[in-house]
Amino acid sequence: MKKIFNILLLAGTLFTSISCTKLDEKVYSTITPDKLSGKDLVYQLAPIYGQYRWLLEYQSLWDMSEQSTDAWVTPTNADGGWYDGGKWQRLHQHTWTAYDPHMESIWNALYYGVSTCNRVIYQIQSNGGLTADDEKIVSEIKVARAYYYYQLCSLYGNVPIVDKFDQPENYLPATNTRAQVLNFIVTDLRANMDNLSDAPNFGRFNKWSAKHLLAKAYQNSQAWIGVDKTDSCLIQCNDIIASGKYSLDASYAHVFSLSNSTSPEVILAFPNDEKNGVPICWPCYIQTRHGLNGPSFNASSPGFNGLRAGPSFVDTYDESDKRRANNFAQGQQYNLSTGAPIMSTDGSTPLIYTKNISSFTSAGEFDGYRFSKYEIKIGQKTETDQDWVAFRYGETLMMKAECLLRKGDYQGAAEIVNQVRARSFDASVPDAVKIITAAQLSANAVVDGVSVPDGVFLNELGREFAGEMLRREQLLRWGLFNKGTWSFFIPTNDDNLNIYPIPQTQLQANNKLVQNPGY
Amino acid sequence: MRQIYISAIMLCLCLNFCPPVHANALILHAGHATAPITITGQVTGPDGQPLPGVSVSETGTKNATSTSAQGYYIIKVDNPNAILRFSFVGMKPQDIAVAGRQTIDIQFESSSVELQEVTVSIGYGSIRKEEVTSSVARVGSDDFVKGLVTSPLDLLRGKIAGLAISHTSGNPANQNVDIMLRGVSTLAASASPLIVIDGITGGSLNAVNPDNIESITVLKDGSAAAIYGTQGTNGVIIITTKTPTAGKATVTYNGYASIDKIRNPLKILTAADVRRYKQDPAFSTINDYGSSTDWLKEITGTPVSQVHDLSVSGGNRNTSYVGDVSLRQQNGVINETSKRSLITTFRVNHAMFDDKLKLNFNISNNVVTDHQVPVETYANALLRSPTLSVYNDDGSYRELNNTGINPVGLVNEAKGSNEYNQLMMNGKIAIRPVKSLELSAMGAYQNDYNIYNYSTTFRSYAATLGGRNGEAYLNGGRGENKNLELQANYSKTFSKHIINAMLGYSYQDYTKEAWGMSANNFPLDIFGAWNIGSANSIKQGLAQLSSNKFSWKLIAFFGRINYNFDDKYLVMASLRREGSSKFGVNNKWGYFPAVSAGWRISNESFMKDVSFINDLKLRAGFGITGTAPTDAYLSLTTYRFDPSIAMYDNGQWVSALVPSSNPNPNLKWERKREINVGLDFTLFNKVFNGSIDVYHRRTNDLLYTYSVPVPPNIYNSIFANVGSISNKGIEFAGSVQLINKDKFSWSVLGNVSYNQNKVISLSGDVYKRDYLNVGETGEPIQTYTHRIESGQALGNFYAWEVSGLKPVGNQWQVVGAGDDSPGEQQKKIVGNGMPKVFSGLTTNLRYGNLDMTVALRGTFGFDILNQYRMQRETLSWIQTYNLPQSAFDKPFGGNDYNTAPPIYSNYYIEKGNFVKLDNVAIGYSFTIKNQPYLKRARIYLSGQNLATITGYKGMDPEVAVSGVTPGVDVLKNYPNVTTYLVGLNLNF
Repeated sequence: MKKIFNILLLAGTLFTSISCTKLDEKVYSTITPDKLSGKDLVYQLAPIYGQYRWLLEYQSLWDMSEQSTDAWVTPTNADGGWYDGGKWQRLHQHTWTAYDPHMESIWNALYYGVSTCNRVIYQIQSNGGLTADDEKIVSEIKVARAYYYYQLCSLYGNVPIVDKFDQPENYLPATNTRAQVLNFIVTDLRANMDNLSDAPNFGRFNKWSAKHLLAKAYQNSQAWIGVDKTDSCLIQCNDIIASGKYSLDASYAHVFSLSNSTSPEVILAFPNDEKNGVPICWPCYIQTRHGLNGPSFNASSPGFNGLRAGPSFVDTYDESDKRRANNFAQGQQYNLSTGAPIMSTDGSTPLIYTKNISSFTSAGEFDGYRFSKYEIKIGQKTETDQDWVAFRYGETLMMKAECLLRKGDYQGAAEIVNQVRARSFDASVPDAVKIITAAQLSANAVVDGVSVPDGVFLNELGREFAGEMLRREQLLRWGLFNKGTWSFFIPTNDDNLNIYPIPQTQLQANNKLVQNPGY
Repeated sequence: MRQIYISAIMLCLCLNFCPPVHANALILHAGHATAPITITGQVTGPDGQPLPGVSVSETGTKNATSTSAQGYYIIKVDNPNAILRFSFVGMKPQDIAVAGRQTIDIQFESSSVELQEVTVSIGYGSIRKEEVTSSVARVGSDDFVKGLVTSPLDLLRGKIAGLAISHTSGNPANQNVDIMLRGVSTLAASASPLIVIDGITGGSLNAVNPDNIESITVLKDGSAAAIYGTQGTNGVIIITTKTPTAGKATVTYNGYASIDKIRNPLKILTAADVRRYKQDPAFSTINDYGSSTDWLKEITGTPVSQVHDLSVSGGNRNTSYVGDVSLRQQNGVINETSKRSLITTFRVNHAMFDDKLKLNFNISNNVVTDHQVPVETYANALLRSPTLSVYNDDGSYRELNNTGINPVGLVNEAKGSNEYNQLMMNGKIAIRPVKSLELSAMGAYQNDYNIYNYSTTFRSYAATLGGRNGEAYLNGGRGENKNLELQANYSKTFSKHIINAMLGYSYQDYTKEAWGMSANNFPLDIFGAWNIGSANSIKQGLAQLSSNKFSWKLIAFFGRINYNFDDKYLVMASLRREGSSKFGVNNKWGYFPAVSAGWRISNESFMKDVSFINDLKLRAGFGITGTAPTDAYLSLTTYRFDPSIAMYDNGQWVSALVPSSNPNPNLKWERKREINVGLDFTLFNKVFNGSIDVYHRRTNDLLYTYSVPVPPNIYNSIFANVGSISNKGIEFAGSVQLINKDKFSWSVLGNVSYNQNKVISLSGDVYKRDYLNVGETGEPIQTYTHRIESGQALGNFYAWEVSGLKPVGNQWQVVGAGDDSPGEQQKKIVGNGMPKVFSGLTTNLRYGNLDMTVALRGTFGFDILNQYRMQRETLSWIQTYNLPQSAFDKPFGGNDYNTAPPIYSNYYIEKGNFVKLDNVAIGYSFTIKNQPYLKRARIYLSGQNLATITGYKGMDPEVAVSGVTPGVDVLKNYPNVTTYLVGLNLNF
């Protein structure tokens, strides 16, 4: 027995001397926080801006801002395409629920942006004393965060405000009212915008894009929380105009072209790149074009034939309005390289987009005009090269015009409207068509089957900013979002539907959240 | 030599046929002798060859010797009634009464010890079957599935109660076996059992030649598997490969050839069908492109696969070896799909210093090349209009937008190939300083290299429609697995007490490196993947490069005691303390205890008179096991560079540095505790053998990826331990030896298991959920398939219930939705994809030289989501695509064709119950006489997956059922097949 004990003792000694009991994780390609330093700040900033592009990916902010309106619709195709469990139908007919995937995907995308902003601010601040440059960067990030909150406020209304990264353990953010959220946006923008550079910057916030965002917040204040901020909006618009940093582009098409980084009109863009952009501008091509349309652009992937223009919305354009041809792909499609008309696969039918949509649940494959505002590159890859225009000077001007309308200055508004409109008509077009008069602006007009004050201006907003993620807000400002009739939408007259529901998954994950009324 | 050989055989025959009366007479006669007797003789193996080194001893004495190189022995005994014991490694020991004889020649009958004493591996050691106190099942090579298998685990299909193995694809390159032990015990961690190959924990199945496996043992319950700690929950599969047999070198050849045929092909429209329907005004818009093509026929064939296996084994008492070379060429039914592997194995065992020191070296290597077609090939063959031609007039592939991809083009112009090399080697040294103690150390090293290359030509779809003149991918990887196992075994017998104790230490270290590159647009169509540098996309900045590396470690200390009192009362207790680098800093280490006990009732004196019971044992066990997360670093905050959210700043693109996980310092293993009660019995003169097990397993701290609010979190999900799940069940396995005569034997083996699963909770203190939606219906429906809900069983299909088609509007009428577009609120449980009952039945018949095995397998109590029907059984696609013939069925006996957009509903949920004729094998063993070289010859025929009885409408009701989304018959990328095989065994 003693012998055995000795042997075991020897073995045990041998064993403990060679054995290893350390369990640290050794990382190679994985990045852990201890590997980060101040030198990577520029990389840390990147997702704040890069995330904006994800708002235009599949199940986009674009869908939520445009497809629930008179301007656009995704019917179910006769081949069953774009049924997708009915989510596109529900989006258009305002029968969405908290379970619909759009609600969650955009909530996540926006709050991801908020979180990134808070985190990077914290990282900069925890590096020690802030330099002047650091202060500027923090201000810029706060402005960038305000854009995320602007969209959250616009879509969901009552959302939690989280303004810093370091929170107590197990902290869960609670719902704030829409008024609190809007106030937070305005306060943050006012406090920080003057710290930003005033030089134009295509892809990053500067002082002027911050002011533009502030003007937008004021513009929608009445519709969102019932507080009129027309005067405040006007001040911001006038500041931007007075700066002389931006001007209207001579060509409407150029603003949305592949070379729009040279346009004097663009205040802020979300740049895409076929090399760096895994996300794509989904509505710009793939969501809307028919599969046969790919060869027009020698594109490497076919379109999915979903998104169509609302026929009544198309009808608001005069035939002579160049924006009509720019914003909608219509009629016979051609191979842009050879000029040959595009035919169906068996050669029997030409690819002709017709304006009307025959059915909401079984649409013809060529039914409906398509969104074609953004130039499509010849040889386009699945990843697209379009730079999305988030803010442009034309919008600043039209915001000012809207303020003037609200203040009863129809003449002043008409001047701006015609200034913006002029480039979209040939000189030969008669003034009666080309020019919108103060008298026309002051009269009631029928929009979506409802006679409304300033209806002519609302139609002009629709035409000028078609597909720029503004239509829902426009209809809400005019009270038509639940009262108009268009495409396959009949009025719900339900004001609860003016904001979207808080996604069900978020309610599940955070019991401090309160669902919006009526859901 | 030949004479000796023949006379040995003659002697053996003589002995075998000696009439009993004669033998008795000898014994009586011998009773009178008193003087010491010298006995001589020769010992031969089952093959008739002399066996050197056989131990020959007189029982009850210390009198012993061993055989010479020629198998001869001389032993003197005092007692003419002495009993001589002949024992040899790997052979059934033989006790022979001397009975006064002076010459006793012995031939060992079987190379297997099974008949007498089955030892069962229990992990870090083995014990006699009678001593097992937990739920352990062993399958020897004789009972394996007979045929060509893609994975060694396929050998066990239908053979072990509670172990469900499904074969869901006929792809020769696909080795992933759908395997589930006693229900699903995890949500997000791996459901794969731990594989132990010849003592190497985490051994690679790739390195094992399926034809070279001696036995497979499965540790099923917690009390058995707890010795493997965090790797034990899904069971432990212990693979023992064939060991060297000492003696004159023997050479074995085993070869077989097989063909595959698609089983039960899906019924889709032919060109003639399309034209017939086009006559109907309702379908006049169907595109008729003018040709008639059977796409399935265009891409498939009846390939011949072949396997050749040659091994040599031999040695003497001290040193023995086995070497084996196996070439396996498996060709799939889809053209250009195949797998070729060359497995070489070499093993040496050596014992010295009176067996005080034993050395063992083992090396095996598998070189594999497989060829694959793009995954979408088969689906496109089902989808593409039969009126389209394969080629255009100019010989190019006919490719059109919106008609799917030409499958022939995919097969011929898109080549994927995976080459890998799996090396596994280990060495073991065992020292026995005193008889009762053995110390051993084992080191194992595994290394796998793999290179995957994929390329398309200028004639491919990617070029003609996608504008990419040639695409190429080249991905490589290297994995390195190192084990060190130290063990001390102590065994001692004190009168009626037998104690076996074991202490051990285990260290495992895994590192994986991977890299990849891809580019397209080549100047010439000649390189495939082998000149990526020439691609034009590199100059355009559109090529991609990547690399990554990770590692993890596992360390454990463990011990076990087996105590046996008088072969009546048995106790086993074990404890493992284990840590893994994968766990959070607060939970690096855990304890995994187990205890089990057995009572051999049949050995009690009161059972003496119960003659019909040969053996009866009641056992019960309790054990705790774990499941570790699959990936490393899950407990850490991590960041990554994400080009997809790059920023454009002053004309430059800046990559984004973003969080990729939330920290979870509390991350730990899933903790499963299990109670198992079982009864083993052998009845009616060993005719009937069986065991019943009842278990209850509960897994707590389930790992799942919970979505969390951002902010305050930096990432939108966290991998956390939340929730619990339970599985209860009963298993029965039994065998009946109906007839057991020399000429004729017939046995039946069967097993059946029933499991009931319940999700207890999905909430913890921090993360709370009532339910989780999982699974994916795929395009174009895009919703989840299953809902995991507390209080419910796993595997519930959660969908809309439809009552028919709406009279107008081209939509389904969803129950509860009225005229509205149906929403989430109308969804309900419409079925469950987790089978309740698994069963297997095998019958073995032998008549003379002819033997036959028939194996049936049945699975019951589950539903299947028929994804193919769901996605294609709608006439809304008829204009451009091919559809199943059933698309023309009018749903629910209504008057309307289904042209509504596909939705996920109960209409596509079908009963899955099936019984399969899984395996039939017929063999004939030749009687070899007067052959100097050939010792044994056998030919056999076998068929796999021959017939199925089921009400299921799809191709095959055998679908993947493990995991949290069971029962989905996915729109496959490879059809199921029936395999027919002919084989030949030769022994020299």
